[in-house]
Amino acid sequence: MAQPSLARVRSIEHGGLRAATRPFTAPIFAGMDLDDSSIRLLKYQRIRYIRYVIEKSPVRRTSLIGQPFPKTLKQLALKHTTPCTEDIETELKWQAVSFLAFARQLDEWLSCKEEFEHAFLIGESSRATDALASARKKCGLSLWDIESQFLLASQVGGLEENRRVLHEIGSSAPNWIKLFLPFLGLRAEPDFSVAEYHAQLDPLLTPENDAPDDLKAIFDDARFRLNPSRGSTATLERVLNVEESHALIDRFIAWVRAVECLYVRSFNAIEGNAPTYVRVLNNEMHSHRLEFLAGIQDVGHGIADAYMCRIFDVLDAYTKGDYSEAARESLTLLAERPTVLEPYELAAKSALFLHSSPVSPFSPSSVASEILTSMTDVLSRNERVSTSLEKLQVLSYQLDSFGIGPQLRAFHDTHARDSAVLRLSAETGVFSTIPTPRTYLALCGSENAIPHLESLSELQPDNSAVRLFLSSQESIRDGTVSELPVTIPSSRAMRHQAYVLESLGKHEEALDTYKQLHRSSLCATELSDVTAGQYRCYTALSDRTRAARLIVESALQSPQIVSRDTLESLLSQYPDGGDSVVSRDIAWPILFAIAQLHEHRARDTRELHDVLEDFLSAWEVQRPSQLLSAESEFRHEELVYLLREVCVPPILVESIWFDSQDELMQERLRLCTWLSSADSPRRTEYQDEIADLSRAAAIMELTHKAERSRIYVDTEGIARNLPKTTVDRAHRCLALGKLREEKLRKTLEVTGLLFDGLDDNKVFLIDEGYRLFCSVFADIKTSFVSSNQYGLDANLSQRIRHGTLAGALRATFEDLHLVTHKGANGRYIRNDEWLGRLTRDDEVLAPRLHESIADFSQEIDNIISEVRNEWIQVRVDGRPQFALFDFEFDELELHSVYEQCIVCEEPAQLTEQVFVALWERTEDALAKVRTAIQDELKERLFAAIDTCERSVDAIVGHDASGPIRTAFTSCRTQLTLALSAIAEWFRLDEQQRIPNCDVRSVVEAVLGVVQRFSGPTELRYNLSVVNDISVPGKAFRPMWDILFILLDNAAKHSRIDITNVNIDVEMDGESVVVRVENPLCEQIDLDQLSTTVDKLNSLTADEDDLASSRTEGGSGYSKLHKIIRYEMGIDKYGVAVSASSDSYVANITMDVPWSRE
Amino acid sequence: MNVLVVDDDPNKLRQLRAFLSGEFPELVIEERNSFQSGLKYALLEGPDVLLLDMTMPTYDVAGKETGGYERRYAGYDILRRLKRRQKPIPVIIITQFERFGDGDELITLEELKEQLSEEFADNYVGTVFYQAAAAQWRNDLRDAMKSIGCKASREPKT
Repeated sequence: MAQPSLARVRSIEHGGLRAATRPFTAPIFAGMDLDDSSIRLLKYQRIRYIRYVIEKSPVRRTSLIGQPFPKTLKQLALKHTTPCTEDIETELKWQAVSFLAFARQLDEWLSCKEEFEHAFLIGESSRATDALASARKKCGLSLWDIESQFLLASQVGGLEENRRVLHEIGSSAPNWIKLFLPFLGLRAEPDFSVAEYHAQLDPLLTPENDAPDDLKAIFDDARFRLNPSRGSTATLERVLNVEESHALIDRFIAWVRAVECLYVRSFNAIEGNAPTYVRVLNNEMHSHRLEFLAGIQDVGHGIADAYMCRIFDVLDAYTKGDYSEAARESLTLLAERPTVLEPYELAAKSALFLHSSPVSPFSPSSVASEILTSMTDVLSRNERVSTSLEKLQVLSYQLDSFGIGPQLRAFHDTHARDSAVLRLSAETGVFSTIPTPRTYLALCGSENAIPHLESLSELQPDNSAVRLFLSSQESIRDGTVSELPVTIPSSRAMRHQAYVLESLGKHEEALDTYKQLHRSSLCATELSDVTAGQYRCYTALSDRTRAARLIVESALQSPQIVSRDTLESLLSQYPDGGDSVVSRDIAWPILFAIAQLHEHRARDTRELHDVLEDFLSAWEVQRPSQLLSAESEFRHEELVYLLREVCVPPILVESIWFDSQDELMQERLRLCTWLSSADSPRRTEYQDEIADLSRAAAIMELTHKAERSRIYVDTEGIARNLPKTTVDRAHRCLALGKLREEKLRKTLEVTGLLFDGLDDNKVFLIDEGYRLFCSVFADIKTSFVSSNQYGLDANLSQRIRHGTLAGALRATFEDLHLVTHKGANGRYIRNDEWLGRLTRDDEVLAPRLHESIADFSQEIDNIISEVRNEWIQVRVDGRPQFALFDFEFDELELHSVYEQCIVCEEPAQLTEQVFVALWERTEDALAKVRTAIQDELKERLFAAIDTCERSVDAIVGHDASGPIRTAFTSCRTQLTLALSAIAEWFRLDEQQRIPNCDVRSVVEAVLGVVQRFSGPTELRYNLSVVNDISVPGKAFRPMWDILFILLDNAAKHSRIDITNVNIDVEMDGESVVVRVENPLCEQIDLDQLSTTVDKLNSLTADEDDLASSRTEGGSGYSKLHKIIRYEMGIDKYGVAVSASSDSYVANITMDVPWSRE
Repeated sequence: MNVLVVDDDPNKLRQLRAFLSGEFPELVIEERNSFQSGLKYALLEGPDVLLLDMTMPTYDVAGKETGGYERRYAGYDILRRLKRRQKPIPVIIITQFERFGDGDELITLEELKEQLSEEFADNYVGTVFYQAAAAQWRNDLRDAMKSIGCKASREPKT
């Protein structure tokens, strides 16, 4: 934060000045401005004298008390203040004089404020608006006014109105006010988050250690105003000094809050005259807060008011157990003054004892009703406790300038953390509205409260609450448990008795009483208190085991019964690293889980696993399912809870006893199976989880199968469709082979032209059988390699070259943003990620870096293209030169195959024998491909990475290139693993070993792969499967390929950053209908798209169309026909596409034979 | 002396193996490729020295196992578990990264070293910054191994 230029907080040395003479008298009465030292001396004078100087002398008031009632926003600027005395008492006094000087105006404002708060809380916005306008008219502008405007705007018009106020005030406010505006606006928002508020506020208000003192004071003040937990650290005298710059009403609010802070810090030992100044002000003004603060120092003063007396009557009725009367009267009091918190709490508690809920006298949507409902939830310890506590905390921030705001905060803190402690916090006492017995206990502690309680007793001699509290404290003081002087419900009497015993250190006796109580019928709030009491006693007795038992049994009954502090305190006693005796109690992992699930402590799967591991080790088992054989050793609900909530995959993944995700899933399946019968009310949940786990396991299995083996040739299809001439030749070849004499197999072959005349040089004896075999072999090989329907090359094109290979190779680079793709102009688009991070778009460096990274993209794509177009090809007649699928056989090799074939009985056997030779050759080729990918390809890609890394380093410098070098390092490791995975594609398809699976699993498995390889677009999807059916293993691979082509097209051709795909699969009669719809980018050329759609719809399974199934780079739709017609053998099917200006739809209908199986 | 090397990068693992067996011929070298397999061996078999990569998959990648989620601080987590089980095995971290995390969570190698020294004084020996093409890591690893009592076959070349 920049140092405001006008801000000055001047300090003076302390001491020796009180007794000084008054050298400033003369200038004052001459009407001159006082210098710093004179003001400093004046501040130390008695209150009456200062008041006289300010009110009666001709001295210019503004130089002493600033601008009390600013009329414009500009007047709210941070201004010079008087020198700070560094003495809180003097600063309190100095400001008190200003309040006295304007007591009438402040009184009027306090009346408007009360009216505003009342109207706001019950939701009467127009009345609140009027009250605010009236306050502004009387006292001008202020931070209070601005904060109130934000609240009203949010109540009336939500976030939109809130932002309007922000901009309206922000347009003319001085910078000092602009510092506050976003925070005041933020905390008034309807969906305000306290965590987010502090995330923004806390870093901003932390000055540097070496910041000047006056700047630190300004930070102190801003923190004091914006952070409701202001009391703990603020340097109050400096805050008050900076406050002189503000409107008088803001100073007054800060003054009261400062006194409250002093009381919180040490009520019993409060120094000096602060209480006196409170009394002096209270005598001249009508402020409820001053009245209370004066009253707690001077018992009786605070309950002179009739309203307060009626609250004491409610306390009396409540203590006696007349809950109907207490409930009725507290709601009446609430209706009269919704600005006081005590009636809310009394109404909620009384209703709980009546087993009902209080009915708010206000509109259900009003803030007051929200407070009442939330407090009831918290006190009843129902399942809404956390939400309601959060709501109360939010309200306490929003209503911080209201009287009720800090009271709500104290209530929240008590019930969020502190219900396990015997003594309430001092805040609970200070922020009360009336001095009840509980107020004094909170403020003074047990012993010091007695004089105050005695004074209360004199004023309220028949009040049961006062007598009960006094009696308890006297018992504690005297060390005896005396008989109670009032007739109250037995459970309340026993609670007080247990409380006294506990306070006296008689924990075993206190425990007996608490246990008796535990067995009786208690309402939730009593049960929570009693549980906390028992826990404290066990802890005092160092009985960790019984404490853990108590808390786990209570928490499993109702987790909200156990307060956060109790649980935290217990968990802190867990031995680090476990202990064979302690860890054997199932309570510990359950309690750690409860603490995390109910957000009492941060989610930490490692911590939870550690405790679970200790427990399992103590039982000498490795996996949770092994506990099932010792089921009877545990309480049923505890074992169920442990297995349900703790033994879940995110925790078990930390265990060394599972070597894979599959083992982990199998373990969870075992647990869910047991749970579904052991915990029948949740059976459906477990069955859903079992279904999810089974599908996840199936997807993993299917993905593995599809990823691992892609090479396939339909030899059955080839054999079935061999031309008749080939079969005839095979027949003759075998017939010749059966001739006993080898020479008889030979025939004459004449070369040259017959009319040249025959001579021996033109006539040869050749092996006719071998010649026929060569012809048969060539026919089968051609089909094996090149058949558009059944052959290897079509398969390589479909499963590897078509997009998949490039996608998989590029994925590693794309994940790390190391490559971009080409734009419409054919050039690589700008790499915003790395240009921004490494050069901050510097004009000189950015273009050079772009060029380097574009070169890298080009190099990677060139390598990929070479692999696809040169390596993963079938070599025929020596071309392509670097093709790795080599099916050329020399004479020797052919003869060898011939020798094996010639002994066959039937042409079918001969064909099979040829396939064996071709498969062997295929296996050799696959091994070469795998090696090439893992060696040569890796080497070339790594070399490209090295080159780019050096280039980037040279451009941006070694220090700046750190992040991208980290990315390159990751890239090398990930690429090594990716290449190993890609190498596995080059294995023969094992489709016969694939089990049946449902269509949804296949779709989800394919989606997982497409998402990985779909860069640069991000694929998202909605999947609907109606009447799911089982896909037989033999049909899995074709289904996979169909879905892959459809989804890969959707991702690649949508040309948008995020592609949302709708996938509908439906079994309709005997047909499977697959519909994939994806959006299109706005710039799509519709005419061209229309032409493409017509072309795709005209494709068939004819030979001409299938020929294009062996080429890459298109839509892959011709491959769909090949897959459906020839791989799946389906005659009745349809492939149709349609497109509009914003979407593209592909529809496939197949009449599948296995739907009838 | 038994040394366990836990690393998922096959190239790095190969180089480490070659270096260790050349420099410290008496070492018996065991290898694992993931957080879980490394941790399991370390806890159950108790090697004399542990060489750890920092970032690794949860499980060994094999067959249909894809490795589970990648743990950015797998090495740190293994150290934490050794400490919790009171296994004072000397640990040398061997990483290729000079920085970990990003944005607010960015931590430099130097900061990580400091954190590991503070938290795992009983286990942590040091960190070696590995670069496949550089020679320095060999010297650093040799020194680290010697500091825990491994005997080298020869003195380092200067």
